Amino acid sequence: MSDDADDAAAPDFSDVLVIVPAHNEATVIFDVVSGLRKTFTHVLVVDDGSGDGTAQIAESAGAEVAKHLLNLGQGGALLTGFRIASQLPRIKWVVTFDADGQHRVSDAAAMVEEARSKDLEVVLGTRFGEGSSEASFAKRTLLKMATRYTRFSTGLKVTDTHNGLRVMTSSLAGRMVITDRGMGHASDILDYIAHHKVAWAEMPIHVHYTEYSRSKGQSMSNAVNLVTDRWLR
Amino acid sequence: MAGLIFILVLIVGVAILWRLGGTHHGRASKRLVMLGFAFLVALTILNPELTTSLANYIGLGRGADLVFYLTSIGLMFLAAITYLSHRRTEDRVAELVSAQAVSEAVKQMSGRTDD
Repeated sequence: MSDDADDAAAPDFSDVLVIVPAHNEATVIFDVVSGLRKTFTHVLVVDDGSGDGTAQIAESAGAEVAKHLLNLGQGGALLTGFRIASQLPRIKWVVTFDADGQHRVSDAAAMVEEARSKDLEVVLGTRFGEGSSEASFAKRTLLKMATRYTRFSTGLKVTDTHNGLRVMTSSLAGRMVITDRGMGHASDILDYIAHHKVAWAEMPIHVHYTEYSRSKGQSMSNAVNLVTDRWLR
Repeated sequence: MAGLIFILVLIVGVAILWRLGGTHHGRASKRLVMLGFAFLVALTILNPELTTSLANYIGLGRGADLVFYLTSIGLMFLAAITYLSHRRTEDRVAELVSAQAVSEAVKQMSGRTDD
């Protein structure tokens, strides 16, 4: 029993559900899920109406899978994940994690630990911690502008918005209101945090942009849609 | 003669909409509004001077301008109403898709996360 000391030191993540919204991610989902499963017991892939076998591959990598019969968008997939988490009594924490492989599992684990130790309801990953981003100059500028807009509209002193890596309590996830089923959900989440005075903090994370994640990520022109959609609602 | 053709088209249009009115809520009031509108249109076809006098009365100049403005406003309202009803349908479909996925997944997972 020489491992006892190690076992005691290893954090227990059995009350954490990692939610991975995925739409046509067959090429990367296996690696993302198996990477997560080395640390987290429960990984839920919300297959958002994929037509490329994402669900089966995710299952074979050890994920639980919830299937949308139609594509609803990332916000819709997250909301489904939140509802599932809030109905599982053993689950106390929820992690949202992108399916394209740009997030690090170690960051997610550290964020859960941070939330637990500091009694926070939400920990948001930020790409603008020191040396933690590989984004291009144009993307950084755009993200900074989006962040300024969010600071202004929510009053939250965030340093990053629209970053998919977050940790929150499952009870908060169950109460979360997401009205935008598309990419605008990130602003909905921040709005909810601001309006309900949720205890939150940011934590620097490393985002690894690959050729693949760039091609799957939001286009710069989509930023305009995000803002105008919010005004139209 | 041309006026008569327009009135015939109007009657056919009203008849079709009447049938499509089907099982909608508040269809009686909708049908009354539609009939009233068709009656006004028929009046202006039979007596085009009506719109001109109305336009003069409210200081708009030509009757054709008045008809054009009213049609444009009507079209915008129609677009807005169609957009809203489309969004409502989308929301309901999304709710259904999500609820189905949640119920399947919770059934599947509840045993496993209880360990």
